[in-house]
Amino acid sequence: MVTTAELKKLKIDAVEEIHRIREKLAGYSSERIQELAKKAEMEMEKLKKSCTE
Amino acid sequence: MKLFEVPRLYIETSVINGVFSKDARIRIISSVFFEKVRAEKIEGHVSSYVLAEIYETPSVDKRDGLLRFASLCIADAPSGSEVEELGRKYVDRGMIPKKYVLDAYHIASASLGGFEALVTWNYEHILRDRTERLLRMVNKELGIHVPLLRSPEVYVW
Repeated sequence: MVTTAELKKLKIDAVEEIHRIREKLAGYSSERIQELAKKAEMEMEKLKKSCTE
Repeated sequence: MKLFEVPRLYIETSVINGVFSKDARIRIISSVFFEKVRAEKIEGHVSSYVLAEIYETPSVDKRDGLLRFASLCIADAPSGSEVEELGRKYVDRGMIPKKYVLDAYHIASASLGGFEALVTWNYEHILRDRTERLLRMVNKELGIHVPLLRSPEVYVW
């Protein structure tokens, strides 16, 4: 018989990694989350510039 | 919606992370999905929650790789108090465990943004019958758009 433990083995790494981050972010304020998003946008701009240079 | 209109989709973080998965099926499907975004056959949208989660990725090299894929999307999905209030309602109704309230924020952003679907690899909390039924019920009660909940597989074949 297949058990719940076996079902849990089917977890997807791409989801598990995000869930670990999400557990941490659940304790952050809305403002802190927005700050992190802004930082990510700034990094994306840097990456775009480095690709075009 | 016209049948062959480019779909406007909310891309949840696990799909971007899927490009770097150790699981070949997840990696290939996620990569093909993003090729369709790059080719403008899919209009991908992300929220501040997606960007914040990527920014918190422990490895800087991986984070930069994830940001390159995220930059193929439009960062305009709603975020903030209205989204988070709706997300907390989803948690209160038992749609998503409290510990994973961010899962609920993604669904709320896709709902309030009016996206055709939220695309995710998260079968545990999002791509499941319980979540779909409760989402339909809660959003209809509140008069909010009900996005489809989809795996990226639906868009690659």
